[in-house]
Amino acid sequence: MHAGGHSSTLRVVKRAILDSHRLLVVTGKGGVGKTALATAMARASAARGLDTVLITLDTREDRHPLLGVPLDYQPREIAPHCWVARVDAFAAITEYARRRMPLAGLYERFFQSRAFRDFAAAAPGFEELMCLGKLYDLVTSGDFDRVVFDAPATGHLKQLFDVPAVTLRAVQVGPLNHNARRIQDLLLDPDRTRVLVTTLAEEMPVREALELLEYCQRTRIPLGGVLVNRRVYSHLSALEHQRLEDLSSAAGAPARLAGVLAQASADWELDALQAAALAPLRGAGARLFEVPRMVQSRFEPAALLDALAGALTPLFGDAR
Amino acid sequence: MSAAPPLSLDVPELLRQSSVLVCCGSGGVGKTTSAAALGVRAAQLGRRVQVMTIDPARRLAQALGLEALDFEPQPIVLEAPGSLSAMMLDSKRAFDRMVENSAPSERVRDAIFANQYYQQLSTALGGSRELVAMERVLEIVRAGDSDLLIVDTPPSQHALDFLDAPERIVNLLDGSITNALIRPYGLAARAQFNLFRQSSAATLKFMERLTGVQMLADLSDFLLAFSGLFDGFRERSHDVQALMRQPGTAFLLVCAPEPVSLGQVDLFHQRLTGERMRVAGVLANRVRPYPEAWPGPDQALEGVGLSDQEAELVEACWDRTFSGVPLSQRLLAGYREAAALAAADRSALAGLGRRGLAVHQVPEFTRDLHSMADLLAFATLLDAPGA
Repeated sequence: MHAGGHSSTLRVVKRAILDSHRLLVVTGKGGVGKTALATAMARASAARGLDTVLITLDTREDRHPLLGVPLDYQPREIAPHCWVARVDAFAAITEYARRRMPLAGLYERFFQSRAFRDFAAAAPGFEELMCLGKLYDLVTSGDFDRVVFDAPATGHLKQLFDVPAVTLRAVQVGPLNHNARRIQDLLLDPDRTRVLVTTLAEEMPVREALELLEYCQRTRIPLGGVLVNRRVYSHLSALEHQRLEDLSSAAGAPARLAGVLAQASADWELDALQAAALAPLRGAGARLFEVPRMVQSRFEPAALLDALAGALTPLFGDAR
Repeated sequence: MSAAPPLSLDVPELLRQSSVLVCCGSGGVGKTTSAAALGVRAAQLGRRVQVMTIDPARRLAQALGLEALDFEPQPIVLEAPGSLSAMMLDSKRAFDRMVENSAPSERVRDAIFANQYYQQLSTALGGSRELVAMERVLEIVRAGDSDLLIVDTPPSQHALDFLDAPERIVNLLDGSITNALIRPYGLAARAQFNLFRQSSAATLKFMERLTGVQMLADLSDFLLAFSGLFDGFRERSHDVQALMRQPGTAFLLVCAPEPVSLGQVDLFHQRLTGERMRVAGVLANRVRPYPEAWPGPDQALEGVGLSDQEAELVEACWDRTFSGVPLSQRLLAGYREAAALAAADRSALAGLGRRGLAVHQVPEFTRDLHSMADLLAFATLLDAPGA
């Protein structure tokens, strides 16, 4: 039974699922367009007049793959109300130490030393905690209304978000404990934080999305919803589809017409396959937000981001 | 303007010539499935193949006819002149195995297994998965049970971690911080850690103020126990490096024709070449083909239409209660969209050719691959079109 066709578009959730939340965490399986959606989300948020900073973590690219701008620790303005920055563990540690110890300048040499870097890499969770601390600062400093976190993919995100809880168990007192506590409070606060799981309407990404839903439920990290990227819709009714199938099986259709009909049939089937792939997510009670596949005959990142930002605008309630 | 076709990669030839083939690429580009299909194709070409995957995907195991993938190689039933077996890398078990292989005595081994830091290290320390993956590659190659090992690298946050991680961990164990940590907290300093550098002591003091002490004491215990393994580690790390530069070893960059994935290909290419490792070329998955009967890549999208007679046939199917837009218009829009997507993929991949990378394109599958029949279908797509 085809669930596809035009009917599926009507089921797209158009309610705003994000309101005054200050930290939006965008995650999902690698390769589903997470970075594009996070970037477009920052743009859509900024378009509402909210000062929004898009944060990426520790990537090795020197430039943002879609915006093309250099990535630095210091936020860089890319559009009105919109900034982008990269948080790397080493810079976060250095900043933290400088603030915590007035005489940290004396230790400048150690920040640069191999021993210091080795230590940071060796202590499990230390780098992660420092990165999350920077994220916390960005959310709470008052410099920005909103932080959109282009977060790591599923497995790494879990590792990252487990760090505060693990730290709280391991370290009962002191500055690390204090930091972990504040970060944990932010991550668990439904008024400030929302996780957005990105996926494709395909089996494997949906499986990871379900895994993330389960993770959010278990850890009580508030889930905003699931963004389904690159959704393909057939623009036929079931009746039209049936008539066209009959037409194409009748012999003697010219080649061009046969090609056009084959494509329509393929799109119909893909729509139905995608709807079926999403069924487990609907079954899990997740709020789905479908983002149509954007078509460009040549990759134009600016146009793509504009189109995605437009598609994501209904996610947001009224600007405060 | 059409994009020039990139240099084409001869995949069967690559499978015949290599003894180790490492598949690299960012997550979500079909790397694991590609590794399995490459294994199938190589076995068809008469080679004795082992495929090592990191991904515990049950579907893939089932496609290979297995209940689940196992740490030890399992033979795959396949009608081919060669043979195929598959294994999954279990990081924890591989790390345990590595400790067993390197520990000078049972006492040291048990002390390490008992340390709570070890429990974390073997799964949490950045790059530990990559380290054990490379370690396992070495073990498999040395066992000599196959002519070709195909490695599916871990989906790293940093896609290059599998190159960097082994060295980083060895550096850590070798580094001054280890000395600094072991000296004040350890039970006894071992002979090779007598060198005590002033900067390390200061760093340690600094880190104490920053973090609190308990963590350092734990880490110190662990590193002390672990230091006994160090010589074995370093030696094996060097062996892995040598293996990666051997003439029979090649890297295959797996990607999808989209910008983020292609950016990763560039990073890999630069890095591997810089490390004097051989990049055989690119396997581009999910390349969307032009729709049937599309005139050609040079055809402007708007120029393609239906004849009056064809449009008439189509409009007879129009359901006016469903849409006010004539059916032929909707169909043509879909047809042109498909062509636009194919054009986008071609132009994205054209850049690889300009960088001198040989590319083999695999068309997109509209569904996940679930059976051996699916993998066999994928394997046939690894040959040059028309070959």
